[in-house]
Amino acid sequence: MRGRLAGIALLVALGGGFLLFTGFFVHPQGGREVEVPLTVQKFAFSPGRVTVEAGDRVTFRIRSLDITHGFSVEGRGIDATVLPGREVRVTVPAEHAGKIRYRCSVICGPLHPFMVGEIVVRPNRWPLWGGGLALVIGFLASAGASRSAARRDLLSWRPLRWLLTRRPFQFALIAPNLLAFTLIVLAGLVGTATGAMNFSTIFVWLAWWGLLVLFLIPLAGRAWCAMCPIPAPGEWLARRAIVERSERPFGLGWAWPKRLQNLWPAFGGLLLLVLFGLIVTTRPLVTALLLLGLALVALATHLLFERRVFCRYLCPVGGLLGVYSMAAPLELRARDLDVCRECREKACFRGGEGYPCPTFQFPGGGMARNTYCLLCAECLKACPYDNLALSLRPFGADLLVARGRRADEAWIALLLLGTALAHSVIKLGPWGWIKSWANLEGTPEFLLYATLFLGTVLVALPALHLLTAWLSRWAAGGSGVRIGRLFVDYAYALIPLSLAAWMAFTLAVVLPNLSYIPRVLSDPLGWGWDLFGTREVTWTWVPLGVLPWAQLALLLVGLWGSIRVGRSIVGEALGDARAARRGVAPLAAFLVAIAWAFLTLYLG
Amino acid sequence: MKRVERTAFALVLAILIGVPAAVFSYQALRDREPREIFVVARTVEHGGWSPARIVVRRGQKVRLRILAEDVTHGFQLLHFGVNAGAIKTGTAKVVEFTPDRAGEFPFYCSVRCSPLHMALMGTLVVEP
Repeated sequence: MRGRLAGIALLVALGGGFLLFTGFFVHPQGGREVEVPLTVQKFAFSPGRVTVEAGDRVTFRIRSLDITHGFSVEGRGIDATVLPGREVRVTVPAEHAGKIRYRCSVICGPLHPFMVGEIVVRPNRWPLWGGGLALVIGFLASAGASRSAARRDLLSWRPLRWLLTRRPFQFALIAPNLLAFTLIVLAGLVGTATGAMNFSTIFVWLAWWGLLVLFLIPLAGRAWCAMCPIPAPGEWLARRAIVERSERPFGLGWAWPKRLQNLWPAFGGLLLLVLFGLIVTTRPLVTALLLLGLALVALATHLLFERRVFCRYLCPVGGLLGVYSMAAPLELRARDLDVCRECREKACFRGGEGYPCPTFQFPGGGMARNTYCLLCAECLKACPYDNLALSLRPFGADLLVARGRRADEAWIALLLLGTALAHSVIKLGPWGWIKSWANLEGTPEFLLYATLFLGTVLVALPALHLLTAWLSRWAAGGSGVRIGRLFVDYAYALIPLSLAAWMAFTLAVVLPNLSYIPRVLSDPLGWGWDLFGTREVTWTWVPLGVLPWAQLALLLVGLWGSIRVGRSIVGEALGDARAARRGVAPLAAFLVAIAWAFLTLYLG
Repeated sequence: MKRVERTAFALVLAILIGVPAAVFSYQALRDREPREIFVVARTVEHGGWSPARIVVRRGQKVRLRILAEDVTHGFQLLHFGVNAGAIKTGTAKVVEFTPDRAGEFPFYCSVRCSPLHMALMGTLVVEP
């Protein structure tokens, strides 16, 4: 019965997909000529959203109300400059149903990269079909079979093992990043204040963030932490060595206060960072001061406290990476815990040939999650029994590990999901008012924005999550499980979907803006240099038509992962299998609703 | 200290000192270019023309490279028939002219760039 239902659902979804797909090849005849007066002003188009029928030809009569702007249509090669005091006419043929995004193409101020508008070409079946697919995925994922827990040790490949156990290897990873870091701070401090032309903003928030979210996190979890230059000077000073294993530490080596031995400091930092996200990501000076500030805090904590306390408890990006690294298909673990039980030295934790674990993890003591593992490979160098494995594993394996689940991690997961939604609205949406509110243009407006933002990510979303947990317990028959425990446990099921949402968001931010990278490489400080002859490149990414497909695929894969994880978590929290089957429904519905919200936002 | 440690230390120092040193010396080298005068246009709110006063000699050819730094600007020096048109943000335009009169001449931004656009003015001083 169940299998047949799944089959029918799959057929329906494929049928919907076929319908959508045929929509791409049909050219409706005799569309209308639509004329739209469009005014542009920092940092919005008005109207920001235009709805037409497939086959129409939209002619925009564009006028600027303040300064010079541009008008370019993503993926169409249409580009016009809108000088103030002069009307420009641009015609955009709307052949296919879906969404066409247009954006400002002449740098007009800090929020220029996020100055977008959209043409919705009806009948837009994307949200409907995407929502249908999400439902099917939700259904299949909550019913499907469990998967294997196979591991493959990468260290059995000798050259990799050799490389990872060389002491200079980590330094070789850090050094190029330190070079970029130095240039970023310098460019932010003395370079141009125009974010789109400054190496610091472009390299941190476009290049680094893009690589981090699209590749490093989903494939290798916290691997960034092994090459991060921010804590490096502090660590070198505290160890009194850059490469070698030294036994004469320089710092005071205090223990970190017990009260703060959690991720709440990182949560606070992350909250501030995302609240001021629009300011931080568009102002070179703010970016430079942020990075420099983090490096100084790291330096101070290294000199005062033991090990890498900064990375373990304080770093806001560390909090983000820690939560998402649980979904990554890479783990560093003890190979055989029986060997560890026999081991007297416990060199992975106490230090030996290598430094003791910088984040107080204990691979030999059964470390089971990636959350706090920086992949620095010190344990690999320390272990006298060669008993560590760097393994490929199924995605999301750590999310199923019940031991060690904590409220601080759960709240970071919720914050990240809420932020992905909020930033998609603010940065990718056509609503200019919220951009200017978030841009600190006036104190009352910013306070309103802050209330709205914090209300969404700290109150509304967690409340919905709590409701989901409560409904799940109720559906399962109201067992004696504490609701607080379900709240925390279920938050781990959000992680795959929220990572996928960040990837979809990042794709939409990075792809259309890629051309800034060669530009700032030639002129890192915006001083009119032209080192490589690429300072005026205006090449844009042409196959932007793949963007909606990629976003849809990412969100559906994330949804699938989330529900699969959710199923295991619900099952293990609520005990017997039948109760769990009923209890998973509210969680699956919640996840489908979130995925659908992202889909409508991106494609609707 | 072992050799690898010394090398690493030297590399770190080279990065931390070398990057700023390279940036500033490259900029200083560019400024010595005698053939042209580099002018940066910013809105009045962010500092206006830089330099706002350009001194040249009568009868000698002048070459200005004008960079629009924050938003799109223009450059107009009507007394010598110079009009660069719109200079898009991040791009630069070069204008050339030979002043045949001595005196002080105003130059303007010719593309509306901010509420204080009309105040975005500079002076060209032609010495006899």
